[in-house]
Amino acid sequence: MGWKHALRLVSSATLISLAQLSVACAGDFVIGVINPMTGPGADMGTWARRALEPVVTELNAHGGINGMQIKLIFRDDESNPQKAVAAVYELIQRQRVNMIMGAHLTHVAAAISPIINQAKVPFIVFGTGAALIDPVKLPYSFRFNMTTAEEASVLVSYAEKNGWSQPAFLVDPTAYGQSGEKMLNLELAKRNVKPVAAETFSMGDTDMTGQFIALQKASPNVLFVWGLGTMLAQAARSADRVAFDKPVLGSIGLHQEGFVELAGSAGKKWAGTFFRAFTRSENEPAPERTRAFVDKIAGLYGSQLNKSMSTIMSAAPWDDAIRDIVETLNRSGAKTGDEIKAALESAPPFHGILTTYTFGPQKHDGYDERDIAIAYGLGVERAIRLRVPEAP
Amino acid sequence: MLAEIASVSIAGVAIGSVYALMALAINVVFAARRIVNFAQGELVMLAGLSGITLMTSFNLLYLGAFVIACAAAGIAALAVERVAVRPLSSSEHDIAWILSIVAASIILSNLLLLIFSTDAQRFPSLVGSRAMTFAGVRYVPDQLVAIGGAVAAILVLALIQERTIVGKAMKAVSLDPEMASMLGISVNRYVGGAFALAGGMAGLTAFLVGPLTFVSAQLGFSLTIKGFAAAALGGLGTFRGAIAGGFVIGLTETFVSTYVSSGLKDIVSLVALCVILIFRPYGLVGEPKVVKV
Amino acid sequence: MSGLQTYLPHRLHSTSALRWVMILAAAVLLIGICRSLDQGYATYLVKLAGINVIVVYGLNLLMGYAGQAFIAVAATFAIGAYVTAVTVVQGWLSFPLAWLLAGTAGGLFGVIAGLPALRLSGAYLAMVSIAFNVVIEQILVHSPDVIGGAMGISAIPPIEVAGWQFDDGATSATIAVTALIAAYCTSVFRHSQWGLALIAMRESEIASQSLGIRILPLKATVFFIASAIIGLAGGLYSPAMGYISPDIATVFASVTYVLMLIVGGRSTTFGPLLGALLLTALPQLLVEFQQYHLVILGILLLVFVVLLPDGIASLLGPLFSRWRRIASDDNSRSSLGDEVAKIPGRNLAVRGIQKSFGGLHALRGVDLSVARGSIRGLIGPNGSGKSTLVNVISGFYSPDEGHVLVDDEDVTRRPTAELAGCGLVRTFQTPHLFMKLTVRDNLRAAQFRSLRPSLLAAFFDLPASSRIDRAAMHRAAEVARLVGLEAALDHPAETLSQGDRRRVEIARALAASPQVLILDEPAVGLSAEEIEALRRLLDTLRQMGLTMVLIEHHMDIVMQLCDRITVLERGAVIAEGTPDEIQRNVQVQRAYLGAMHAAGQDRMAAGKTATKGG
Repeated sequence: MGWKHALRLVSSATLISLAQLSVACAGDFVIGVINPMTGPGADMGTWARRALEPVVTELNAHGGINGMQIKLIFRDDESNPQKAVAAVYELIQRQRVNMIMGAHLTHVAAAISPIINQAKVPFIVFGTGAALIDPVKLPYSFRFNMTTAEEASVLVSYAEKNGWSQPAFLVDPTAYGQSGEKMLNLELAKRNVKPVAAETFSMGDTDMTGQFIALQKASPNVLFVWGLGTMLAQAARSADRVAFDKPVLGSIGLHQEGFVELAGSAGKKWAGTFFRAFTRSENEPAPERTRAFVDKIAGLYGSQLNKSMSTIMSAAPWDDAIRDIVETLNRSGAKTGDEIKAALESAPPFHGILTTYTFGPQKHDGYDERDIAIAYGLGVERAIRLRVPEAP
Repeated sequence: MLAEIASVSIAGVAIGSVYALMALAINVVFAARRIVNFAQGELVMLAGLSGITLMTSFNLLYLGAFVIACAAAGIAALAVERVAVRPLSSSEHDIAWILSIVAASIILSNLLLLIFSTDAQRFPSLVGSRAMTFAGVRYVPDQLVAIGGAVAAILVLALIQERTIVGKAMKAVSLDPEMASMLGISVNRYVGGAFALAGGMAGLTAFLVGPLTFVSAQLGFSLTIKGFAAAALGGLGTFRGAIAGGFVIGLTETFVSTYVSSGLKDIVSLVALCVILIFRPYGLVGEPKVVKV
Repeated sequence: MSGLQTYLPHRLHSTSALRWVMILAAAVLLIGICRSLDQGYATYLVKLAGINVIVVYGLNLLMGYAGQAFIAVAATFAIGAYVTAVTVVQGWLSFPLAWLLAGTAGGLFGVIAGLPALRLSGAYLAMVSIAFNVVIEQILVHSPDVIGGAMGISAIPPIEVAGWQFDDGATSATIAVTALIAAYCTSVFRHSQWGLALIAMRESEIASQSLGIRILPLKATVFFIASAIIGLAGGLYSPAMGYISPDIATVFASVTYVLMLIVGGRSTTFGPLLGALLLTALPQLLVEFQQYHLVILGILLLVFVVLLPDGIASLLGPLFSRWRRIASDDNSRSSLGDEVAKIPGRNLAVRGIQKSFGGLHALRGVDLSVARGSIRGLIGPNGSGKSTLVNVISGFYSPDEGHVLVDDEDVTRRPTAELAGCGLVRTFQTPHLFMKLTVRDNLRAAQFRSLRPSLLAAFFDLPASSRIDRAAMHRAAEVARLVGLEAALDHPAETLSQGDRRRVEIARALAASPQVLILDEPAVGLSAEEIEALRRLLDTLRQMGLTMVLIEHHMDIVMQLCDRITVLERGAVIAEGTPDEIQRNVQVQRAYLGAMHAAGQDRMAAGKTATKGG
């Protein structure tokens, strides 16, 4: 293999890649979607895409946005802020997107928010960190899903009502876990409570026996967990091994596929915050509208839905978001970044599947906190979860 | 208190067995050609994911899935050897092989991601994954299987290396490939064989480890790092060292995590590795090479 | 001459002042380009590419020229980035000081993480450095709030100097100019005495030590400088990007930097630039492939490492060779006048040397005295201890008992590198030449001990360094003429024939200004003519006053050349005298015949093979 061969290989590879470059046509409404497709958050990116594409097809069939067809451009941020920044620049300057959606991971979203806002491009952010929404500093950022701060508030309130005054933490080492810990501490501080123990684990840990023995020693009366489904399942099994029997409350990450799949009976009593629309109490059936949505997704992705719930967690907020946006833009005829911003701020409440979204000039977080419930991770039928018993 | 320490120890030795198995596989390749197979973690994940798919989607029996998964990992390992290792020169100072093997592991892990998607999978357990108690000590049967499997593996490997012709040939090949080939030993076949064996061990590792944890396309690298740390700690190329290194790291991690701080877990074992390698570069059990002037 | 300079007419680059003027002009050009780019994507790419260029030039110093397999690049980079970010965000330091601290911190980390390099090499060092990298990354992930933990540090203010805040254009200009200086200075450094010493160390630590190059300080120095450069790159990254997280410290990031170096071509002048630019641009192009992009990147990288291990620069090299003019060095054509220089040879004495290896007594009480300006032959059958004795004298082994004295100075147990300072130099049975260097550079490297500029002068291309370079080249040419290698001065050592290589080995030893020269079997593998030329050379050297010890098996040259001969057998001196005396010595005759006979009997008795080499 001489250098000639190699040179040929390299040049053909470069040529092939250059030939693949595509740019959107002038008459489209281009939405750039930045999500983790690889790396630790890859679940969310995959299901977000699966949720978005059929809805956009449907909306395009009904005329798109003000006569323009919606074109989606997907970019992988590899769960890495540096890659996300590069992707955002490319989307804004080469693809000339009209709007950007995505960035599930808070620290990734934090890196790209200033850039997107500076370019006056509307940014529908899905990361849950508090600092991501700021009508003054980040005027073009809007959020449709629930936030870490809201989740922490709901969890701590519930613990407070049950009289559990000695909490402990188990959080994952990523930005997600660390920001959750921060928010929980803030909420506890409001009530003058401090955690009696705080443990963490590494991604891929096969055994958390040590952590749970340490937690047991601290004698907490509730354990807050913050992480993604698969790792929390591992935690549940480790907890089972040492017979850790305190109530466990967690974030929405608990409801990811992996938890149901892997925790087995060990996770029976573990509960996490979730969309109220997808929960029910012992005696009542699931809401109609929710059923319809689940059936629709099942129709599209049948077999994969058998595995539980990442669809709903990822799909529903996107579904709600894109429908709200399209409706608002069609009603107002907005085109530019500033017009879209104004339109969203002045739009009437939108009754989505998950909640009623309201925005305003000072309110860029649309999700209503009252629509956050705490539900058990297991015992799922057709994507509907069982809520925890009401607090006294 | 004693029961608690016993539980922690069992957990430490069980996870240590995982690392030991990784280290053994790394040593098998190192024994044939002095390189570290940084793609070993991906091979384990490949075997695990194929095994699960075979058992759930194709309803294969455990044994059948095990055999096929080992074969799949073995073939992948051979591919890595053929493409990323064989074409490179074997001079000690050349580090090109590190880059090519890391590139191979990147390709493998992303291929696994594309094929099996990101869903983490539950591994069916052979002996039961519920915790049990014996004399007040809590353990899980899967842990014992893992420990047993690791010990059995090292015994078999040590036997092969020290008692059989194949083993001695491998040693010759690693120490002086030119001389070995002049003596009629086909170097390529032995190196290839070592990789295939590492692939088979990846299958064994996946099936022993799977019930304890889960397998997913993205966990390969962290497993490899721990395995390498265990191998280096014990002394690259020595099988006894692999077991020693694996257990030391497993126990250290678990004890530090329980009694000191869970955040320090990974750092402690790696820092210990760095410090030991500064003072005893050839590991705890390994022997230094004498340089002739 | 620096690679860049060989492409330009002599007059433009003849003095360091002129060279710096050219760099200044290039810098002004770069600033203009950067200011004129529109803010956003293009500027972002320029900033990123520029920072990568700086990192890879620093890495080239360490991995390319010094040959150290140090993979913890991203960790060093991250340390620089975090030091700057934390100190500026917390308001502890202004940016210029923070940046300096970043470089220092990076350099210190490099030295600490490079400590294993003193004992390990190649693959071991690479793997230990990977472990270091993971440790640093984990520390950053689990760090307290002020360092940000997994969430990193955001809202890092842009560069501010003396109250003036840099906008995007100014930042990218700063980065571009820093990259230019890093590229220039590392290239210049490579061609200075320091750079040659690094390459010498890479090619053969053993030979370098025998010439007086001390390995430990040299390694520490290069680790510091290279890591400081990488740390400075990190220090620019923080204000340029405004946001950092532990993702910049991963092993994957390190592998990417190393690949930039390999793909571009390590140990070349333009390789780092090419590699950094290509691998910064490539991911942008691959973005279209979405979820396949990482697989494709992996495949591309694999292709490069396997098929093009010398990088792109090696492909382009032949293209440029037509344009290249071998820099004429006026000074090397000085008159043949002062040939009959004097060498102040010293006495060498060895008293009662004992050395055992386990149960094997290699040397049992050897005494030897060599008068200055004479040639001592050292002969004996295989296994008699000749090589062991030479290794003891030259500091590679410590004797169990006994002394080595040069004039009246006791130099026993001194490290090899120090012995060259006492005038004691040796050659090796198989030449340990610095293969990738030209003959001229081999001879220049040999002078490093006594002829080297300060680090500052070498790195920043100050006139002092050029002066010393010229002096070294002058002496190199002299020595080459003496040995008859003048025509081969600009040939890489690896292209020479075996006979020529031996002459280079001897020339190199001579270039190190020896006062006692030990030659270990210099005639092996030479033709009759070459041996005669060797004899004449050694004779000339004796006339110049050099003390020599000659270990040889070729009896002709030994008998013709040596003033006295010492005969070793089984680790002890059995005879010493003039060539005539030795030839008539019955014991010696029996030793040679008897040794063969005894070896045969031993073999039969114990089934062991006789040990080879003295």
